[in-house]
Amino acid sequence: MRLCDIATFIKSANAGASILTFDIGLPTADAMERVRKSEVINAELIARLYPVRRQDVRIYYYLPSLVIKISIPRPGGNGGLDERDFDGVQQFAPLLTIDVPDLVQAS
Amino acid sequence: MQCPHVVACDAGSADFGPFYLGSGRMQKAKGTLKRDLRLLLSGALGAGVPFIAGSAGGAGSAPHLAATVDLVREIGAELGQSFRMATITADLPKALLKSRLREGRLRPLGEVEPLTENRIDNLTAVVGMMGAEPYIEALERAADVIIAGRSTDPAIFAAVPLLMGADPGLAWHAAKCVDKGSLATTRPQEGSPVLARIHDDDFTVEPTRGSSECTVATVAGITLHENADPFHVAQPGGVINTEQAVYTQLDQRRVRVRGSRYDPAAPSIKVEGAELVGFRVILIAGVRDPRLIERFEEFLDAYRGRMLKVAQSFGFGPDDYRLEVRVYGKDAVMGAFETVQAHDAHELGLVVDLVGRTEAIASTLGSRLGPTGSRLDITGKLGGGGNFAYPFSPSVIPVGPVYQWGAWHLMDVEPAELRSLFAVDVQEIRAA
Repeated sequence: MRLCDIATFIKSANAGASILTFDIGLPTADAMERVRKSEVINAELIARLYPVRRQDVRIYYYLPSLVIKISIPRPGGNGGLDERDFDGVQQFAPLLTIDVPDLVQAS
Repeated sequence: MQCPHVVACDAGSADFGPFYLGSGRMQKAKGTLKRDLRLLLSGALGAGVPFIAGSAGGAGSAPHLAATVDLVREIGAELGQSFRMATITADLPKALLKSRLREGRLRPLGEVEPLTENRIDNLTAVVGMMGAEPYIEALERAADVIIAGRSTDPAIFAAVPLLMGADPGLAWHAAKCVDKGSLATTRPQEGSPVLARIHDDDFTVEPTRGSSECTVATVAGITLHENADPFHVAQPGGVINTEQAVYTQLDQRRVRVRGSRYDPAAPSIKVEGAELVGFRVILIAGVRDPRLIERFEEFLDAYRGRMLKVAQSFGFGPDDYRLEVRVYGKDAVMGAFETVQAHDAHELGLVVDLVGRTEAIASTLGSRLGPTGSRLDITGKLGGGGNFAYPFSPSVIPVGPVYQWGAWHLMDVEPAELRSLFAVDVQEIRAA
C-alpha cells in the first residue's frame, strides 16, 4: 500500500526560509500508531528520498491533529535567485509512493 | 458577545520572501489594506478597545510602517476619530549587527550563506523581530492604536494578556492560536476572526462568525503550520512549549486548551535582512520538437556557451549575469530534489531566467536570449527555423529587481534590549 492511499492529506510548506516541512494527515489515532510502530517513516528513508543528511531530518508524531510532521533543511533559503517554489508547496511528491506494509492498513 | 480586551492583526510575514523588505514596497494593495484597516479601526475604537497591528506592510521596516501610518491617519480623519497612536520601529542599526557579528553573537538560522560586515553594509533593509516587550511599553503609555514593524506573530496578541497578568504559558499559546485568524477554523475560506478567552488555568478558542467552527484538530494544528517543530515556537525571551497541552472540544465550535507552557530562554532576536542581487528578465518559450527534447541537456550546454560569448561581445563577464533555464516538464519545480529520471514529455515549457548585475545588463543580454536560443541548431535539421515557441510579443519580459535574504540570523541580546532596540513613539491623532 502507498502512503497516499492511507493518508488523508500530504502537504509541504516552508517553515521559515531555511526549512522545508511536510505534514502527513492520518485518518485515525490507530492508523497513526500503527505507522509509528512500523517505523516505516524514518530518517534514513527521508535522506534517501531527498538530498539531505540523516542527522538533519526531524520527525514528529503530532497526536492532537493526527499528523506526522517531517522537517528538513531547505537549501539556499527561500526567495533567492534559484527559487523554484516560493512557498515550498509542491515538494512532497516523493512521499506519495512510500511503501506502507499491510500491517498499517486502517481497519 | 462581550468585548475583547484587544483587537489585533498580524499584518506581515517573511513567507512572502525578501522582495518587500528589500524594495520597501507594501505587500498588499492600498485599496484592500485600507478597507481592512478601516473595519478594524472603527470596530476597535468604537468599542473602546486597543487596536494593534504588527509586522506592518508585510515586511515591517520603516517604509512599510510609514505607509501604514499614513493610511491610519487617513482613516482616522474620515472617521472623525481622535486617538493616541504608538508606532514601533523594527529596523536595526548596521553598526550593531557588525559588532554582534564580530563578537560571535549573530548566528545563522539553518543553512544560510555566511554573513560578513561587507554583506551587512549591502543590505538594503534589515529588521529584528520584536517580542511582546515593546508592545507592553506602548500599552503602558496608554496607546489606543499600535502600529508596529516586524514582530513575532504571537507577540502582537500576547502583549495585552501578559500586561493583564495572565499566565505566560496560556497567554503565549492563546496568542499563537489566534494569530493566523481563520486558519484555526475548519473552513478558513469563511474568513472568520478567532477569539481567545484566557482564564487562570486554561484558555478557549472560538471563531467569531457563527457559522464557523474551531476543532481540536484545527486549533492543535496551528503549531504545525509552517513550523518545523509542532511542540515548540521560539520567541525572543523564551519558547512556547505545547508538549503537555491538552485540547478538549467544548462544543461544536469551541476548544479548551490547558497545560501550555512558556519556558524562558536567553534573550535573542531574529534578524531578517534583504540584499539586492540584480535585475531579472524572463523569456517564456515552448519546445515541441521531440528530437530536440531528447537532446535537451546538450542544447542547454550549447545555449549557455553561446550566451557567454554574446555577453563577452558586450564586454560583460560571467560575474555580470546569471542565466538559468527552468525546464517545466523536467525539473523546474523540484530542482535538486527531483527524483524522476525518465523524461518523456512531448513538449517542454521554458522560463529562461536572466538576472543581470544592473538593469542595463539584464536588458541588453535579455534581448539576445531569444535569437541565441531559437537559432541554435543542435540536430542539424533546423533548416533556418526556430526552437522556441513564444506565446507573447514582446517575448522578453522584465520582472524587476531581485532580492535574497542577506541576513537570516539569530542575534544574542541583553534582556533590556528586548525593549530598547525597538523605539516606541507616541503621538496624538486629533479629528479635525
